[in-house]
Amino acid sequence: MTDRAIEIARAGRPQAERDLAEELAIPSVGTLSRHAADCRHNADWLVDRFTRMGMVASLHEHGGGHPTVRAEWLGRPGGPTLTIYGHYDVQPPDPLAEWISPPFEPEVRDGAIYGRGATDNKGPHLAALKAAEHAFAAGGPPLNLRFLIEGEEEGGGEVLPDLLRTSAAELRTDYVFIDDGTVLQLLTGLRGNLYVEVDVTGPAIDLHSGAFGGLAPNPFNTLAHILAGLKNREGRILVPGFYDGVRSPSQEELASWRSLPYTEEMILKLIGAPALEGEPGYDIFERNFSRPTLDVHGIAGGFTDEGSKTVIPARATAKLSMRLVPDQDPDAILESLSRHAESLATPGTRVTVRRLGEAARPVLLDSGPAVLGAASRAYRAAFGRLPAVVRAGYSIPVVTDFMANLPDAKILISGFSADEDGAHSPNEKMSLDNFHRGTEMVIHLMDELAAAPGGAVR
Amino acid sequence: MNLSQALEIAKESRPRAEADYFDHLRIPSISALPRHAGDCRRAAANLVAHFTRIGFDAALVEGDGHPTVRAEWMGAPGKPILTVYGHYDVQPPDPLLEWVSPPFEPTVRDGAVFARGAADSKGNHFACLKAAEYAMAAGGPAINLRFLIEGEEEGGGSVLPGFLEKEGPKLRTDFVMIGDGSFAVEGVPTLYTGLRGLVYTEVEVAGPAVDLHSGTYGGIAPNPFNTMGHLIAALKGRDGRVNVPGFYDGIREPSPAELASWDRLGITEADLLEEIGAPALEGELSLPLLVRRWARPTLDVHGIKGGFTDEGTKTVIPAVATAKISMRLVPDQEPSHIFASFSAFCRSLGTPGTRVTVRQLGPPSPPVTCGIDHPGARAAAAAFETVWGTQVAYVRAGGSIPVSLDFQQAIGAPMIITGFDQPASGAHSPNENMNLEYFHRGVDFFLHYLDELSRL
Repeated sequence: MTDRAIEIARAGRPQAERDLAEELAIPSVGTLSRHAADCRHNADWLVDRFTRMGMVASLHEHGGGHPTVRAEWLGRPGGPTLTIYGHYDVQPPDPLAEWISPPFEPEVRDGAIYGRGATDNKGPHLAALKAAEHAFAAGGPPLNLRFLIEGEEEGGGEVLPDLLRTSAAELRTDYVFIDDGTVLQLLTGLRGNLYVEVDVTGPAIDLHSGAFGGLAPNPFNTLAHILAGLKNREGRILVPGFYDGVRSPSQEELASWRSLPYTEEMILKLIGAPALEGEPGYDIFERNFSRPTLDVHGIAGGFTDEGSKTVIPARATAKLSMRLVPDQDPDAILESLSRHAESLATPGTRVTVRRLGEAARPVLLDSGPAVLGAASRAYRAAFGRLPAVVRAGYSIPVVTDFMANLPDAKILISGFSADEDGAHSPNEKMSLDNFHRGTEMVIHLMDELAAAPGGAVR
Repeated sequence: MNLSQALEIAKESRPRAEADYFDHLRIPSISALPRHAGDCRRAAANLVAHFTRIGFDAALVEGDGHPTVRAEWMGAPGKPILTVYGHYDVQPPDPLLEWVSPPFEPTVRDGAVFARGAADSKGNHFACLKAAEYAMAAGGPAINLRFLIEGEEEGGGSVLPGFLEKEGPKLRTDFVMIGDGSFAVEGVPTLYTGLRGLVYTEVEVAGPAVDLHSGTYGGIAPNPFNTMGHLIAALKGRDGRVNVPGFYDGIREPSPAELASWDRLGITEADLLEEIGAPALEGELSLPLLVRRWARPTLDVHGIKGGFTDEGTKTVIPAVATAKISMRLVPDQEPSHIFASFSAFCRSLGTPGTRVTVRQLGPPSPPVTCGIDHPGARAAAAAFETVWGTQVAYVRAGGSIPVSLDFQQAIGAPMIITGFDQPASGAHSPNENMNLEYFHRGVDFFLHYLDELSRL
């Protein structure tokens, strides 16, 4: 099957690129309610693709959230089953003004396709979908195949978790390929995430700063004191108990990370800042993989239009999140953060902290040498290089749901996104070379896993 | 002018006065937003039409910005000349959602008209305009009148200041009335003895060249919002004390007479708390309330742009955070020194991965003092006392009226700074409103004031 499928894949590259452009044109912004219909449209589009190649595809609905696409082909009775995970929802495209081409009008420039979702995660899941399509065209996949493509990754929804919870028996699988990671990296750990809003209220209404300045509490000034009190200038987080339970990486892990081809200079060049920052006493790998963080994402309220307005705003609301590592407990941290933030209020203000979405727990995986070996050989065949074994700074909340509901499955977290693709940034892109090689990698991976020792879960 | 006839006309014309005033309020003349430039011009043209209709010689003064309305009636040779200042531009109406009725659809509730600009300052200058109309109908004012109504007060423009600098020395006038204040206490007409100045800035903290994913780069990348938090926290302590080096140098204490007059106002902490609706007051708590409000400088953050603030979550490390921050200044703080020290201090508060830049929005307004020991002020006090039946209060204002300094420098005539709107008018807030009784008494005051001045 493999050689023939690869041949078909290579001949089908122009069509694959057209398919990717078609999916990228759907503005499936999961967190904005006005795009709910676009999310459903994207899900239907995927169902249609899977159905056409011969898989049984349907939507799983739950609680009014964006549906999860479930597609299956169980034509190898007795053979192992591979489940591939992706998501069709994308991040909001702001700031819009910075996009060179509009975020939902995909454009190819210099060998990359630009559009919101190109790398996170439409390019990667479509690479796998095309691999399946070519496998069918070449006589059928060598193992049972299932896709679960959800629409709530960026927002932390409940639809896929519900499907996993309620249909765990039907969804039994030997392998799960979480296709939402970095190209040529096999992840053995993920940071969790706890996203909150810190709301500071002061006066009942917006006030004139001339008439009331010096008397009225200003929620923005107070919020600044709170934010400054959450993390110091050096990057150490001041929430009491925050570092309790943080597990140090093993010497082997540290050594493997430090052999990665990353330097401070490379990262500086990539992000374009005057200097890197972060917790003193830890190197970039630890700060990125095994140390928790706290970042502010934006502050709503007051006047931010052009020109000047002399207002003391009634309210200021900061969005901030914390990346968590094993074995931090999101519930305990939320509790401590709330108390700490409230304690930093000034007399004329009230502070409330609320969690947005579900917290993602930090994860450490045991994928096992057979799976890591199969993935490594598949990468070598498709990309000519072996992948690195690392942890990731970001969270993929669904991994915990897979672990909890499909405890026997071996989980592989990897993907086809590159650091420079700009996930979540303006001008997000996907290298077409990575996209096509990704398809070939998945074709090889099916083959490798079909032949892997350990047999099927029965 | 027959005063009692003019007052009678005013009384009979109240419905018509309100209708004309509301039409003026319907024009969204927001000077700070370029998309409303046409509306600013429409408001100016509306005023010119009114003044022309009542027999004034009215025209637009053009410059690099929104025009100033100049209207004159010089039909009382040998009598004093009063120049009245106002502004037809208004503040942006945000946050829009909090308005009970739309900001540019004037709506009367409980005897007050709700609209952006109702108090600041369309209600004030329109009351004077209406009084001028009735004075004309009652035989003509007994003194000479000039109105200068600009369109750039809220943004700090150059048209009126430029005009005053060029033409001011030639503009003979005996008194200047700045009608852009409000009553300090319910029912107590107010003359202002000083105004705080203003330096308005934007502080930009730039970090990564692009927005980054906070999972991929958190712990490594600088975050301009976190840095901004430290910067703002360092500018002013939790105790309300501004930490900009040299900030408090040269501050003049209020005079014992001023302090005594402020005490007599009887404004309590409970009053202010009720007015602003916050859990507690803040500021330099060791100082008396009105000293903090009128005679001490402040620093306030107005908003912070950048990052993600829409509904839901986005895990972004924003490339840039930009805060709007202003400082109210008091005599004798020097705005250029303050801005220089503020800029240098902000720049020193960057973190290694960020760059801080500071710029001023609009020209600064220096703090102003306004003497009240002159016939124009005494006449105003008498007129107010006749209409309101109570002694005027002599207070300072926390807000700045930059143009008052331009008038002082260019014309040098004795000045009164006052206004007709009630203390809780919500200038700059949602649901700004003017009590219509105050509006109509403003008309009556102005008629009495013309009469008082004619007898000097």
